[in-house]
Amino acid sequence: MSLRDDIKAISGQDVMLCFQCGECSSSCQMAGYKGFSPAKLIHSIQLGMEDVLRSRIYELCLHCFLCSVRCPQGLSFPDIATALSNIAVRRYGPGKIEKMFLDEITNKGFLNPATFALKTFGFSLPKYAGLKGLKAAPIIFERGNVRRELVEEVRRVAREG
Amino acid sequence: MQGRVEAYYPGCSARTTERAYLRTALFVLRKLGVEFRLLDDLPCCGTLEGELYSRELTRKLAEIINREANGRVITGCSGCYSTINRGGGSATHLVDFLFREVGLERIAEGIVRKVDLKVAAYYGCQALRPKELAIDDPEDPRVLEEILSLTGVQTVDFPMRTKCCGGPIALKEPDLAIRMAKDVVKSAEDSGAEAIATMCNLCHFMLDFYTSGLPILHFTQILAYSMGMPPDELGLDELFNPPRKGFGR
Repeated sequence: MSLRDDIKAISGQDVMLCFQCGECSSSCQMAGYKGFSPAKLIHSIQLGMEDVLRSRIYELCLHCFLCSVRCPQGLSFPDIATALSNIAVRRYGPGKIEKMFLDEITNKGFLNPATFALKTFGFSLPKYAGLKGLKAAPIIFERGNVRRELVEEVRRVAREG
Repeated sequence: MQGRVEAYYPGCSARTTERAYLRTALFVLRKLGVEFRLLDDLPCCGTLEGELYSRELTRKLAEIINREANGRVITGCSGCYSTINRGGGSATHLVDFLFREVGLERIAEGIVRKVDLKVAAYYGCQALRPKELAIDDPEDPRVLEEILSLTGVQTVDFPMRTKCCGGPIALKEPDLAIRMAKDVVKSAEDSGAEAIATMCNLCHFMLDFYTSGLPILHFTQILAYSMGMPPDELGLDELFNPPRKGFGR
């Protein structure tokens, strides 16, 4: 199956509908950053260029869905980006952030934003959040109180997923 | 709605950094006579990271949440709202619930004191887009302003009100994400706002944790205060940027 068939199977999005009007890229808050452009990415997929998967450039999509409400063809780029991400996980395995996420959700069934901030920034966190960020210190150890049998179920589901 | 027992799904953040959101949201619901069960022992909705890993996982998590809730959930988190619905589940955003199912009239009846503050209502993305999930006009919403106006606050318009807080890429592009959060706050400040009111766990965390200066309130803190919640229970000092004005301060 070609990449565009894979995308269609996962998300229902048919990239061939795109006629390159550029509305998505002109609506995009991320367009231009590291060369990111939804329209260009869709064009690459139309042409069968599979290296967009390796480059992981689709990860820059914010999933704000502004392009999707404006697309004259009713395409949803964020759904295409999600499909690309799912395909990349299947072909190459989960990346660093996906692993971190899976770890948290399978162990606790729960995500703590303070823990994630600490894992992302480490000891330079005060530089980003200021001294006021120290208020979050006691929260870092919060594990949620998700029912045990539900955590088990999530673990099972994540393994299948 | 009479006799119906709703299910409130707070999301992970409202059980950690955003506790004040949960506390004030529940106060508002009780004041309005909404009966509900609090589902605070359910798993994470999976958020965007879950969907990026596998759409199937998101579907299964939504299934677990709706199964345990015995039907739809109400949530104050736009991220949970979006993820659960995108996973084929059923979730209603708290703002939408208040506006459409409780109604402005009933909310107005619950207001016992006014809040004197210039507030920028910040929507973020997930409750406005995609179209199928829009609680209001995807590019020019008014519901949050309409609810907040009942409390006497003066709402101010600002260009970034429906733009992204940076949250979705906070783990991949942290520096850029923080710059985006700062842009939102600066935009509100430049428009004359004395505070921002948010309606999402993640938006609130991004704006409050990573920026300094302007108070970043949960919209329910304003509502709860005007419905008579004692100021010391609003969790104002739990915020990373506590307000110095309004709320009897």
